[in-house]
Amino acid sequence: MTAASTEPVPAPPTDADAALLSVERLGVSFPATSGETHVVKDVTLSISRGETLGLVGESGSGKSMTLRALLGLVPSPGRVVEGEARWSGTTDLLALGERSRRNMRGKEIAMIFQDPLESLDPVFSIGYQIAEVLKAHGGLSRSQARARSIELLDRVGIPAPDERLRAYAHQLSGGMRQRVVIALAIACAPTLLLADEPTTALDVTIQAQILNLLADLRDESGMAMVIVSHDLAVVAQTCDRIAVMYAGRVVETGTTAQVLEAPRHPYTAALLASQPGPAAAGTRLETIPGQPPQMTDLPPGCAFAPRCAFARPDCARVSMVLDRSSREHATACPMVEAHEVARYRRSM
Amino acid sequence: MSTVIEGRTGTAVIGRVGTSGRRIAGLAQNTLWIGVGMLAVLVLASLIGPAFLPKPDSQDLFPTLTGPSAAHPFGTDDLGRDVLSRTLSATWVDLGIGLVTTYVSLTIGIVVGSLAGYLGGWVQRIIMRLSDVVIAFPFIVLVIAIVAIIGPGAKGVIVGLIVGGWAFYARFSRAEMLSLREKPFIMAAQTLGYSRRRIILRHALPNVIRPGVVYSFSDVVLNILYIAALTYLGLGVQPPTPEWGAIIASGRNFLLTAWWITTLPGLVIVFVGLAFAFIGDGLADRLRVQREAR
Repeated sequence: MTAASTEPVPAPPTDADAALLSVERLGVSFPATSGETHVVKDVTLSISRGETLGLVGESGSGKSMTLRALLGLVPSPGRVVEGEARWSGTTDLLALGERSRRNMRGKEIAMIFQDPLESLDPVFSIGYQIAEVLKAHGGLSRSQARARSIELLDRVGIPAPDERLRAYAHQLSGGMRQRVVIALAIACAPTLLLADEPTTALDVTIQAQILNLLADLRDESGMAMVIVSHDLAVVAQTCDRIAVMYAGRVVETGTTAQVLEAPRHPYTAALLASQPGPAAAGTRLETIPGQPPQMTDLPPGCAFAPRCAFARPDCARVSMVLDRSSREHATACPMVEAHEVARYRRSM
Repeated sequence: MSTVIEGRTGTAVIGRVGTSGRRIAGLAQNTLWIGVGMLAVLVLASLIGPAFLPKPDSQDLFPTLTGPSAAHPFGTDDLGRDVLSRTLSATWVDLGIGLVTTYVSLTIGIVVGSLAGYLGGWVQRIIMRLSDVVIAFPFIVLVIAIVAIIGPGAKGVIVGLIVGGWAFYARFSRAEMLSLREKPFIMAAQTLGYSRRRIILRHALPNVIRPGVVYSFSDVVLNILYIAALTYLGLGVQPPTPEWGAIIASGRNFLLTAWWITTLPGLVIVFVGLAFAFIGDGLADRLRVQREAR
């Protein structure tokens, strides 16, 4: 830096510039008997191109609903009540009209679901279903679509793809079905793939194959992925960064190593402590005391406080919003210091 | 109905032994083919029969009210007309009206019911309240009222049966659609960026139609019975057009002296009813076996 150092330094690229998708304070709510139930609140996430984000949490913590909100598929009577989701720093996905939203779906953002049998139409052959996406988005002719379908099935590791085109969902095994679902999702080369519990319905051996397949496809095409899971092992294996959700809020986010090795939120620590592992063989498996909170009846302040080993009276005044001062590794718990959480884990 | 009972006990075995599963599936197919066969016999008879029988309207006043014989297998009526010939030519009228009314009702019902289920909101409210109105009337009373408005004859019967019939299909299509709408594959279709029209027509409807088609076979029978009943009451197809209900009605004055005029066409109605019931039952079994195989 010589003469140029007197020049004003260009502003460092903001989050919005770098991120493929940046979600700010997303809120989804359902009408309840008394007022509104916020099933997703203040969710802030960002996903860069080619990056894989893991969204972790118990059932009902709002993971799937967050994904649905991004695609504009919140089931009625629920609705997105606040927040924005910037796509490439410009378009707000949440404010799109139905038509432009449809153009995004499948083409830019694709999604795969937990149960591969249920997510394929039972009355059409898989060849028909793959060709349908290609024709709908790519404008391919019949024979082009067929050739491309075979290519796709081959890519996702289905043997004898040209014969499989005539098969129906119920004639395939679980792992094969999920491969077909993935083929459908990547048919139009999306920039972002949302995977909602992609391996939960599968055998453990198949899980690994599917995760490897997803990772390969990501590396090949440079697409970004969001993997929703309640299985930390799945996330640890595939994700660059992790966001932990509890009661509809993101309680901790950071790189996979940061979150798994040095958790800063007591919930993350408790979640990690309740994973069975070789080190814990022969000892009793730890559990988190109590039940996940009723979304209709959240405790005031931090919703995790009633189950938290570090709970103190002031927790009722905590706002459960990520502390944004540390950009890389943020927690929603202002009460507990990192070294305390670390000690808690060791004592387990 | 031994086939049905065997089918029922057999289904319990399907999961355990593959071969017996196939045997049961074969039996279920048999009910289907027995029904189809019965229907084919009737249709063939009504195609070939006229070549060997007197014309349905030709009167022969010398031997009136003669019992079944080689020349007149179903006997003759009070005007000396051949009852078998009239019964066979009535097949086209009854089957035709029965099939048309059933499948027009089915089409209307499935389309509006599916729309109601998928779209919800005011579309659903209007369609379902309309169907409530239709269902609130006793079916036959509603049909008679409509025939009274339009006037007796085939047209009145057809309109009446359709107006009364669509509502049932709309009801259960809506229910099917409601559960279908929550199915992941419908959501998967949404995530693939398909238009609402494509999702309803291409992905939801084919899944709604199947149970509707199974139900429709018993509906054909019911509609044929209603046509016969309305004609019997003088509201349906007008004489001299041969129609099963009309033939039976014309014989009611001679029930004790000439039983064949009412009984034999009545048995033909039973025969058709059984045929359609078998087809419906066989189809239902096949679909159920397929579902279990999944």
